[in-house]
Amino acid sequence: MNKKETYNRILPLACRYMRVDLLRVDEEFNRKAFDVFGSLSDNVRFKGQHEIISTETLFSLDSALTESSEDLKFYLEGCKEVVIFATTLGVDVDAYSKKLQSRDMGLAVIYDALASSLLEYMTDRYEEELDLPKHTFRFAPGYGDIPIGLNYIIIDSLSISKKIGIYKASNNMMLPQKSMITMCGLGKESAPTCAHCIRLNSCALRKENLRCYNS
Amino acid sequence: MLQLLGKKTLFFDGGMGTQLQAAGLPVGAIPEELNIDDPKLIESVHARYLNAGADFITTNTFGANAHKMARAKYSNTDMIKAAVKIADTARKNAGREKDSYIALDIGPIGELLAPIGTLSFDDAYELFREQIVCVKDDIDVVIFETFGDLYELKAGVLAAKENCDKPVFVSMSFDKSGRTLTGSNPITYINVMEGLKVNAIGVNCSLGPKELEPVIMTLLENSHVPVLIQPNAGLPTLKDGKTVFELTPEAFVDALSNVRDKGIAMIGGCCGTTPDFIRAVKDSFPSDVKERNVPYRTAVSSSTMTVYLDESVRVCGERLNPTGKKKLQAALREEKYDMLISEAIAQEDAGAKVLDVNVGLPGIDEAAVMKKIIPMLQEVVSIPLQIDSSSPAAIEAACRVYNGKPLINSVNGKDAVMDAVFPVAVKYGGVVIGLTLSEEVPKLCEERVAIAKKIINKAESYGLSKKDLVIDCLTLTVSAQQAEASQTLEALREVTSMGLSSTLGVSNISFGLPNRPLINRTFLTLAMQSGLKMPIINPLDRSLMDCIDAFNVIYNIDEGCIEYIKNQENAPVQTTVVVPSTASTPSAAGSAQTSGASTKKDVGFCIAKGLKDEVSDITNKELESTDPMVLINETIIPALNKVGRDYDSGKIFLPQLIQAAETAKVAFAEVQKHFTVSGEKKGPVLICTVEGDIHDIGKNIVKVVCDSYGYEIIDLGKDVAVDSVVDAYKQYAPKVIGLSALMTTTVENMKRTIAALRANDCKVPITVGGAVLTEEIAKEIDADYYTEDAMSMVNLLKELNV
Repeated sequence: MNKKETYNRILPLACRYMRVDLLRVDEEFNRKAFDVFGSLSDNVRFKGQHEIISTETLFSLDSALTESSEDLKFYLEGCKEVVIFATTLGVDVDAYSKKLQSRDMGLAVIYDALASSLLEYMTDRYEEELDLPKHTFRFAPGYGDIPIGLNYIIIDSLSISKKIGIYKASNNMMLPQKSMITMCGLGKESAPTCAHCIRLNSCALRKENLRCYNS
Repeated sequence: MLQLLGKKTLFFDGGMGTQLQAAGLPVGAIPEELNIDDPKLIESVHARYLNAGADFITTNTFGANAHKMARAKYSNTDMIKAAVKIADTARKNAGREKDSYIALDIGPIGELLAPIGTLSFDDAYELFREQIVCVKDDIDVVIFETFGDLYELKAGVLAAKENCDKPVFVSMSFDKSGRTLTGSNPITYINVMEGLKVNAIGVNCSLGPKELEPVIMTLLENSHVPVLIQPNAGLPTLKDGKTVFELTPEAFVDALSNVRDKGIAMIGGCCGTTPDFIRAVKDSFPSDVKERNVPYRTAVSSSTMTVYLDESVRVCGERLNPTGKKKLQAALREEKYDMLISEAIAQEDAGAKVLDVNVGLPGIDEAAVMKKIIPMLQEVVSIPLQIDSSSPAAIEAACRVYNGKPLINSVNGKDAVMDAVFPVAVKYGGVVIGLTLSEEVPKLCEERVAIAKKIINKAESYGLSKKDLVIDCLTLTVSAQQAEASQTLEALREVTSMGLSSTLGVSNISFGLPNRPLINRTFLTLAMQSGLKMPIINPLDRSLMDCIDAFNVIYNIDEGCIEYIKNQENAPVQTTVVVPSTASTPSAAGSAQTSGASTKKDVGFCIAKGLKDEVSDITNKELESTDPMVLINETIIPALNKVGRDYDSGKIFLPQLIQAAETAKVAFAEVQKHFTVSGEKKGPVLICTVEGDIHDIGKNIVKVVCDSYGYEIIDLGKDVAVDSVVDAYKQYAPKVIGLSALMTTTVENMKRTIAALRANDCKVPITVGGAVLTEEIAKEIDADYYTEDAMSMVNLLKELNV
């Protein structure tokens, strides 16, 4: 897929992050965004890692954390195994963002939104290429009541820092900033819903009759 | 061991983690705990490697730093001591006590260092120190391996060198792009680590032997210290849900055939390799290490870039120096470093390849300021820095925190200066500028050359080679010492013929004369012709940069004139031809017409459209016919207000709002130059991202927009400790405080910050913002206001009459 196609795919989500109305994106904005996407592409060093572990192993990584989550049990009910994905755009994306912020804040905002959107997109592609058997939708710690602290345990347990360079930062954050740890259960099919979302009653997208998972 | 190193091929062991997993170590378990729980298992792994012929066994301590071992059931130092004991027992039992070595294994901390992460350089140093001192007498060598961040590795090497007298080996991981996690290339890695005097330099993990070949070759072709390689057993693949490495020992050896006879000093394996791999390499590698002849170069580095100072002309930007610059002096005194940051950026963008950094002012703690400003500059520019100070303590402080191989400015021919600075350069691996000045100012070429020779000899007595020196031949002022000025050029030729790199502060030549740029660029051209490698100039001065562009074309350095065309394509051609006054000038009238038909863009239009690059000229043009205050009140402010309203009503979006704000800021700056008294600033307003949170894009947006409305913003940055906010409140007496947080987890720190401010009698309004905040949360954590975005912050400041 060439640069322009990728850009076109990720632009709608990026616009949503920027709260820019896609229908009102004009030529000039589009040109700027595409230029900055060029710089982004130059800095991306996408890396992905996935591991298939038993659901039992996942729950035993830190039982105090995993047992506290009703949603984790619900999503993985009936699944014997789980695929854990770790994906990142790499640390150069962060470093360039900082440089851009000191040079042109407007471009930096566009860059940041495009980067977030690109990570989602590349993670989707990474998952598609695995051609997984029957599986649930992909979700992440922080979704529903799944403790975000689980990220840290997963990073350690699967040597993610060593393998693809996602690191723990303070307060359960990860570095590089454009990194994700996600998972899906194997053995059953299920699609995402809003029902378990923490923002069920305060979601800006729902108010506009949109959903974050079908962009 | 040091006698054998680099002469006889030595063999490391292979993977430990994969061996333990094969023995049943479950996912998520901590391998280092086995040093206490099952020492026999670890010993058996060592024994197998020793039997396979390994000369080095690596202790099972890869992750044994206090930070990573926080969730382990034993203390990290206990696990390290146990690991070293096991290794010792293993070699005794194998009968290899005399001819095998224990390598204390140290892996990355598992958290990224600031500025990308939050871990400080000093804390990283402390974590490494702790791992080393507890066993420093019981090991033979310290090996840092699988590092992805050169800066973290520097902290480790310093911790080892300063606390233990054993040799230090380093090994980094490179991905397919040929760079480390934080973007260092192999050349830069070598340049920095050789400067820090490591005993061997290597590459390990992440890739298999074939994929690592280009990196291995670069190491062999450029490193002056022995090279160590420890590849994985190929690339990992997933088989039945398990990660496996598919390369066999024979295939592993085959894959190394291109590099086998090129001078590798040590070889072992990383993930997936087993004793069989070590046996196979031992059988196939030559027993003697082929000698490599690598020429020495003069090169300085940042963490991602190495600049050679012995080939073509490289500009050093001179503007980060407060001498004679009132604004910069004030900025330094008030600790408002934004100005330094933007000066640095402007110079890099204008083509500087090195940046001089001088913060020397009476009454300023130069060492402390250097320690603060160096990381800030390195976060926004990629090029290497030149540490410029007359205080050895400041030079040392800067070199210590500098990420890369620094350039030190400078020593001169005085013994006392050299005795103070050379040890710092040796310790941190700096390149030093040697100024050909002694007790007296030299007049003649010979005097300069004599001083240069004295500096070289002294440097060599400290172990610095002449390739670690750049000679400054000292520019004199031609209006004062006209007869001697050309001696500088002669000295340049001499110094160049001695194989040395050279530098000059150029503009001093023209002091006191009219049309200084003419003298400057002529002198620069002559100096380049005489061999000058690093002119220290203002890179924003296009006339000087243009000379270099032209010089590089004429000497076929800029092949295909690529750089020249890029820089000069749109340059206005100035052909100043003096026309006799009697001649009629129809062409002049014609050109006046052309310029008269200028575009109708005015300042308001520029702001609305965010035309940041054009607004300066247009503002200045309007100021010719408009009063500055009128321009502000009737054009700039209304334009900005309209943009703000358009944003509020959804007609324009955040990026456009920011562009407009930045444009207005440029216009303001131009207008302010026309006030007799400096323009009045509103505020100050103190802002920061709270402790533990490194997301600062939102806070930076607020800063840009408020700035454009004329508010003085004191930005404390990101991840700001609670106490620092309180201190800043006391120091600056702001009228409003704005706190930002992105994460739910850091809202707690926001609450603590507010509580600490209140406890210190802070009565000024506190407003909070950030993705997770709402009106309710703001109330809950005792903030006075919640500002949703940058515009609402501006509206609040207006409302509060700040």
